[in-house]
Amino acid sequence: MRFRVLGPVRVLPHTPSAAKPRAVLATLLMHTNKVVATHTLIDELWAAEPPRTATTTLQVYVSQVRKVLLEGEPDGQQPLLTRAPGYLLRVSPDDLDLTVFEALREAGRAAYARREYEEASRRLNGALELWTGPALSGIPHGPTLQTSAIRLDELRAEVLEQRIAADLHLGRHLELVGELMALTREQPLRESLHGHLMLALYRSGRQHEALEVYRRARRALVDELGVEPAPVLSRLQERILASDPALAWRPDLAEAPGLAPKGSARPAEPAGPVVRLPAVVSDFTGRASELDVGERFLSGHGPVGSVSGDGGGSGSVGGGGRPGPSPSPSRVLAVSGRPGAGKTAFAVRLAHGAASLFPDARILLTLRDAGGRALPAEAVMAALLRRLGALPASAGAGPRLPEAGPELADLLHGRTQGRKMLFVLDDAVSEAQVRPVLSVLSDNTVILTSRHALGALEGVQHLVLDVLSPADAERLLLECGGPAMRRDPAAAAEIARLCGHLPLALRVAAAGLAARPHWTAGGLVERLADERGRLETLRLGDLDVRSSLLAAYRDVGEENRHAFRILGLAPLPDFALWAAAALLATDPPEAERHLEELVHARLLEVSRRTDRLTLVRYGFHSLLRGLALDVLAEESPQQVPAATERLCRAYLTLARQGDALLAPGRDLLVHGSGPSAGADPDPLVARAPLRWFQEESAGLLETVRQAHRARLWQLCCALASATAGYYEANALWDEWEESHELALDAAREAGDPLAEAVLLRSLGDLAWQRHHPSAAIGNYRLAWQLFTGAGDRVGAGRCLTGEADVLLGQGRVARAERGYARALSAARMEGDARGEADAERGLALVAQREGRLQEALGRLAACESAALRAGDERWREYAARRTATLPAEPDPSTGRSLSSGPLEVRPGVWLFPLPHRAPDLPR
Amino acid sequence: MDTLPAPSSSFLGPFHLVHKPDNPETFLLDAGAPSRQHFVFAAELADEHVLFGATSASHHDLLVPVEALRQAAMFAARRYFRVPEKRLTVVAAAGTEITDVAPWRRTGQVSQIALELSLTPTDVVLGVPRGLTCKAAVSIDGRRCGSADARLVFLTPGIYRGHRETGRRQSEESLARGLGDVDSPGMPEPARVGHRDGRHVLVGLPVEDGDEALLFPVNAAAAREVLPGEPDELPAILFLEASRQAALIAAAELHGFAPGRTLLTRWGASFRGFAEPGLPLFCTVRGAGADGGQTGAARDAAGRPRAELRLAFLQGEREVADVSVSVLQDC
Repeated sequence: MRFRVLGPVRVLPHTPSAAKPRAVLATLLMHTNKVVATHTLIDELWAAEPPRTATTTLQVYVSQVRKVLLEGEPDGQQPLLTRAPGYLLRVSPDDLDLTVFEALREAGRAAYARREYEEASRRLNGALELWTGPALSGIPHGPTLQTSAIRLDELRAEVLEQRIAADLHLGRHLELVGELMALTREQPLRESLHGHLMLALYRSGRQHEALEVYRRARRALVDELGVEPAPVLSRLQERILASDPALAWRPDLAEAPGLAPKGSARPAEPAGPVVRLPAVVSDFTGRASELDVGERFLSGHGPVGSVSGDGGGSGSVGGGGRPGPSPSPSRVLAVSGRPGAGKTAFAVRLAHGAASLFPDARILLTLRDAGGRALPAEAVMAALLRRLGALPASAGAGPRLPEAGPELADLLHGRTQGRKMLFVLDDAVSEAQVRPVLSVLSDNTVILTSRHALGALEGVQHLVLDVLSPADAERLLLECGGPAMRRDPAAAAEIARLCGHLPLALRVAAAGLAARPHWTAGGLVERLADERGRLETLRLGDLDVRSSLLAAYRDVGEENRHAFRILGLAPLPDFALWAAAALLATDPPEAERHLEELVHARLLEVSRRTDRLTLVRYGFHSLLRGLALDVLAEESPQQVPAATERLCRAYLTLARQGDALLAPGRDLLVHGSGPSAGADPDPLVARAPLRWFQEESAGLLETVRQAHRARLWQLCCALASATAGYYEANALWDEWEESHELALDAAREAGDPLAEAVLLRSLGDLAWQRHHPSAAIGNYRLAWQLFTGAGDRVGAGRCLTGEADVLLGQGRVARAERGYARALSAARMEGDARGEADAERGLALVAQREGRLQEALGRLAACESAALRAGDERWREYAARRTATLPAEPDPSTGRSLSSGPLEVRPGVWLFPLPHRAPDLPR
Repeated sequence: MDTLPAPSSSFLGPFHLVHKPDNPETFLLDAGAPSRQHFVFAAELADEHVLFGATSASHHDLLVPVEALRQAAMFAARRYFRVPEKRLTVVAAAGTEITDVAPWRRTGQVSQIALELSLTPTDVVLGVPRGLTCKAAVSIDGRRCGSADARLVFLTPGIYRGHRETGRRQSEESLARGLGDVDSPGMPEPARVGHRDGRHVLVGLPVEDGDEALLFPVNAAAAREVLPGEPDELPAILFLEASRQAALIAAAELHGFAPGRTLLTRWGASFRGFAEPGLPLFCTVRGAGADGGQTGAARDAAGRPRAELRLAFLQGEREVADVSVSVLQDC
């Protein structure tokens, strides 16, 4: 073993002599084979006041660590790698004492569960022998190391207790007394150790001392904490007082305190209610309506009715298989929700509040093993029997565990029949796993929690836990995040949003801030704002949002994992089926199958709204999208370029289809940017192109960004150009500017002067709409030069019209008129009906401005005619509208048709007021 | 008529107002409907003040967004909401706020100002609204830095006349009883109100009221020389400019703010009646503390001193406008 953290931090062959490099090494060892962010390391080293040179100094420490590490690498490969946003230390499992410890601990626990106490004791003892002192000692601790050290020390204590329990089963009580006396002196408030010592003393014939241990323990608890010993310890004292023979160790009957058989084949009934529940999460927040529903269910006032999800975080409830208004006899409540939604905490909260309803037992059992695998139904039943005291907790000569499912089922049914018991079966994997157990527990009440809806279960009430409402999410942060959070409620609201209102993420964020007094809530917002680093930030000790989400990802098959990863590239906030099909390179039915399976696994969200063109849209919870992108980068980065290109091409196909309907003939890049295959033209776009653009606007902009990032230069230009008409008609200036600046850069990267000209002309339109004359003229002129250079007279002519619009707005009427006239000539020569309509529009404005009303009417008629030829209904309506509102006579006072009133200069664009004629300056 | 009558002679200079269609018929026909409509206003923001020329103020003031909102709303009312010409537009309430001071600092260059407008009709009868609620987000050079809002009411000529006559009578009666005379010690130096030209000073020096308030006479005649508006009305923006001038003097007197570095960052007015030309107008200024009395200046997030003031404009004993402002010393 090269690396040791279970004691003073050491590395072979040489340990860095300075404390801070050792702290860097220890932090990396706590997250081996994972990326540790630079800011995490900085926080670890300089908790309160990082120096200005923190990053540089850290690099020096990393360099020192690397030097040391390289000495121990026979192949000369550096195990400490730079990986954004920090560093990754590669360590094989056998090289780190912690990994070996955890493996031995797991093996010991498993042996203990199998009642193989000899094996359990040996493994657990092996685990303990790895320790050479307090965990992570000899180095300064920041928040991560502090938390890890506490966690490791607690693990050690847990292993020690389990080894002692195994030894007690093996009849080693005489040898244990001394060790336990020392341990109870060191940890006077640890009740389980006192219990072990009492039992060891009792079995050693030292009953009086056993009772003295109880008195001492009670006094310590009352004095220090003001609480009485737990019922388990009190019951043990009572049984010692009563000289309960079941407490005595017999080689033929291994037993556990409180579960001892009383000399009969049938195990003893527990003396009082059996309560095996974890503690309620402190600061449990929100879920008022769901708790109300749950309490009504537990009290038997079902069916539970319905709580409608409002999309802003809540739950929804519904009956399964038993519709109708009559009270449901269902005694099973299935609570489902995405990972981190707080299903277990919710169920535990309900169970703790239901003591009076279930006086016989309230028990929680996790339905997965330590490796996350589903426990078979038989194992679930056996575990329940053990918790009920119907089977010994260990192997030996006690009642033999029935091997066949039916026998177990009979035993469990007999034990629970007619009893008021509540079972929380936590983290169910499938309907098949729990169906046999539920059929046995038919007399009892069961709360099932699962990531899946378990919709195939019959006669079950379903309750879906969504994320918290924004208000509850903020409340949780303010209550758990310490003073720094309370000082900045606005930042708390933003943190809540960045955590997607997911309870687990909120708790980690709050705990992280509370544990780092030198952080501010605003600073945490900045860290969380980076989507790719967000999950890394949401990790504190063994509280890890990423691991929780990853468990759901690993639960689905490889095909769906692939789909999950690739769909991470879909634009925010949501996407339609056709986009998914493009990304997955498959047909829509196949894509839909994957989408629905991911929705079922709570890895994807779906929404249906009848007021949208695309009724059904899919999207990620923000943290899951971050995870999708993470695993995509880790597991299949080579698929990113092709998937991005497919998505861009699909968007381009549909955007062009929509643009051709809204503004036919506008897009001058429509023929010049390569094949646009990627999706079939969509009847939805044909039916309502404006609505399609409105719904896909965010996705289009995101796709332009992706195309630019992926260096898909031509696609980037083509996408921006295809969307410009929509941006222009809706004055979406920010989107227009961003998409075109990116695309302009792409055009220049690609060396494509025509695309550059098209984009510059569009940016000229944007500047004109923004009433920025100098910028508009600059763009139009540059575009004109590029069009002219490329021999594109259509584009060049349209630039002249744009510039003339600016000049007209400045009152430079004669020059504007000349510009429109040149544009008209070019358009006619090139057969550009759209350009012709545009130039005639301008000339009509000039004629109206100058009081030549008949000419204005003629120009407008020509504009309407050209718009008709171009197929542009909007322009045709514009010309007709202006014709209808043109005054019959000029203003008698001025001889002109308008003086200073607003004028619709382009469709929907009003100029207030038209300036007085300005002198035409030489160009 | 394509060429609609201008709402008033504009000091905004040429600007664009773009209607944003949200459905196919609006896209095609540029028609309105009695439902919320969105627009964008765009204009150049000259470094020199549009009305007062070269001033000593270090910031653009709030006249432009308020007037832009008013003009856009009045135009949209006729063109897109089909409010009849004969109905008279009354501003019932108006407000504006600076949310980011930096873009408002004058730079010596021409800037671009834009308003994202949302106009919602209210009290719609037979498809025609009786009022309009207007909200706007203000950007300068593409940076979001403020907001503006207003509530307009469209009155029939008869009701409008009735309000005017009743209000004038009430004011005249109370003035006849000697209420509303302010014996001002004179006019302040223009620099104290952020100007260089004495003709642009619209408020006189204050006198102290016994009620911990300062009383300022408002020179409505001077205002009508400087500010655009209809001949028989006091211009609506008079209240904004007079509020600003009175607030600057009050902030200097009460909290020691330097006028050249002081600006209004929030102005909210509720109009109770019409101010009548030809009648004396004065305004009272007091601190906006809980007890209505003077309170010390607070500080904004950047640590700059900020004062909250409450103003009331009166003619005689009749209150025509109730205004609250925030004044910030930006340094």
